[in-house]
Amino acid sequence: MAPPTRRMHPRRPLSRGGAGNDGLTFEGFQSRLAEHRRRRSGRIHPRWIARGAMLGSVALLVLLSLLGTGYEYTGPPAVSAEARSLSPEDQATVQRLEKKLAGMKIRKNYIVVDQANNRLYLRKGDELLREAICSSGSGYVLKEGDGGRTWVFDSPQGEFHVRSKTNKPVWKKPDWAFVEAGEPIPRDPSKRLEYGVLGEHALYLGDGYMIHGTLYERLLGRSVTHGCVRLGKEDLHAVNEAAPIGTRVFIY
Amino acid sequence: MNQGPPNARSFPSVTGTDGCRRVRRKVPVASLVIALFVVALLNVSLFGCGREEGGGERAGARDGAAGDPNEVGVVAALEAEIALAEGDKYYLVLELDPRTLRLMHHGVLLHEMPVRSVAVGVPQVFFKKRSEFDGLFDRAWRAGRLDPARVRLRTELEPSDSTATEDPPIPPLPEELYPTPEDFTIHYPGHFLVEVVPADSAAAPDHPDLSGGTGIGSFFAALWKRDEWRLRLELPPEDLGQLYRSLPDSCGFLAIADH
Repeated sequence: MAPPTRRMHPRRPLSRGGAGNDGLTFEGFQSRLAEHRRRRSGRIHPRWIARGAMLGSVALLVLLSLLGTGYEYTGPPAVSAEARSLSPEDQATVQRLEKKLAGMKIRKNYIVVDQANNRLYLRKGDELLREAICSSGSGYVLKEGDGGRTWVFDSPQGEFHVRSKTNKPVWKKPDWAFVEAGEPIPRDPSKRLEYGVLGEHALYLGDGYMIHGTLYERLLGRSVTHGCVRLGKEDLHAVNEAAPIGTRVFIY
Repeated sequence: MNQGPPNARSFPSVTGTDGCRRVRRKVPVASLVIALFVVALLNVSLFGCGREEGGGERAGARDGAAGDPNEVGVVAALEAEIALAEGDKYYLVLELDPRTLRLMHHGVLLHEMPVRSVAVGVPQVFFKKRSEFDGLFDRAWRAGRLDPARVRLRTELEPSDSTATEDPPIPPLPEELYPTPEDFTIHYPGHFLVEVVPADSAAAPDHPDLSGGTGIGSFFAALWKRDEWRLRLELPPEDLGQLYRSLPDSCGFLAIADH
């Protein structure tokens, strides 16, 4: 008697009426399948080996890419001794350019103020004559009431020169000094004058900015001023001596 | 009756006759990804080698010069320095002998700091260099951009009470006012980057730090930013902080080769 018809695959009847397309009965198929599974057990299927190899390749590529792609650091290029010799034409050009560059340098004393680090340098050419701790603009913002004026207390940046010098300077207080102090702005100019607060000397740079002394030397090294550059007593004296009128001042 | 050849396997066939299951061969997505990746790498590696002239301006006609290019390099360096000096911006000049970094303005030295070591970073893709590093020397680079950007916090003052007797608060020190990173970079248009890193005091001087240059950031930088040169300067930590706090905006740069 023929076994009951059974579909192993929706599209493919395995066996009808005792024999299928391959002459395999259902029982025979089952036994072969069981044998196949038994043989396969304990082995890794080739499909998984292929997938593993593929993933491994990807991982290797990514690793190599990360290692081999990036920046390779070396020392700066060296120039050979022969390359240092110049032809007469090049020598002439180099001399002309070096002369032009040297002409830009300042042969006299000049002042450099690093306002972010509160340092003042007195220089002459490439030589550093003196380094001093100073105080520069605080960067604070002051507003005068609602809709009033606004002041930003930054030291100016750029190139200046000493326009005038004063011993025992007197401070003529600007409006912001009264606004900041919460005092009314006086109409009498004599009430703006304040003595002894700017130290022994003042080097005027223009636009109300000066290099001067301070009563508060403990605040040197901090950004505390309203834009001027403050120095300690000794440094101010040295700078005042070394910087005649016309001395160039660089503030950055 | 079995229609197949005598030795043919009679187990369910996957090809051929009607009624049998047809297997459609799928192209694995992973294979496609790998293939694209390899093609992209080869493309970048092989065809990305050409150097584009960047934003740095070479004063001398070095590339087209006859004879030894180093002879013209001296002239190029001087002309580049003059070009920067004649501009309105501040600029940095790196000299290799002696190894110093100078902040200049209009040809005037403002500040000078020692550089412990200098290293040049060249992008490479899959172990293949994409450019030669000699192009960054003796060239005027302009409009540098500090990274991380320096931020100055501004405080708004309140007009004080004239009757108050309290002392005003003590303002912060520069180190407190400008938080200084451990290292920083200056980016220049034309794919040039100056890395400023703290010098390792334990390391021997004149021995540049050649480490780094790998990792995700460097990977993408080398892969996508064409010909970005890097110059790594090792500075003493206090000079590094000082430079970061005070570097003027749009600062120029010139690295002078050891001619």
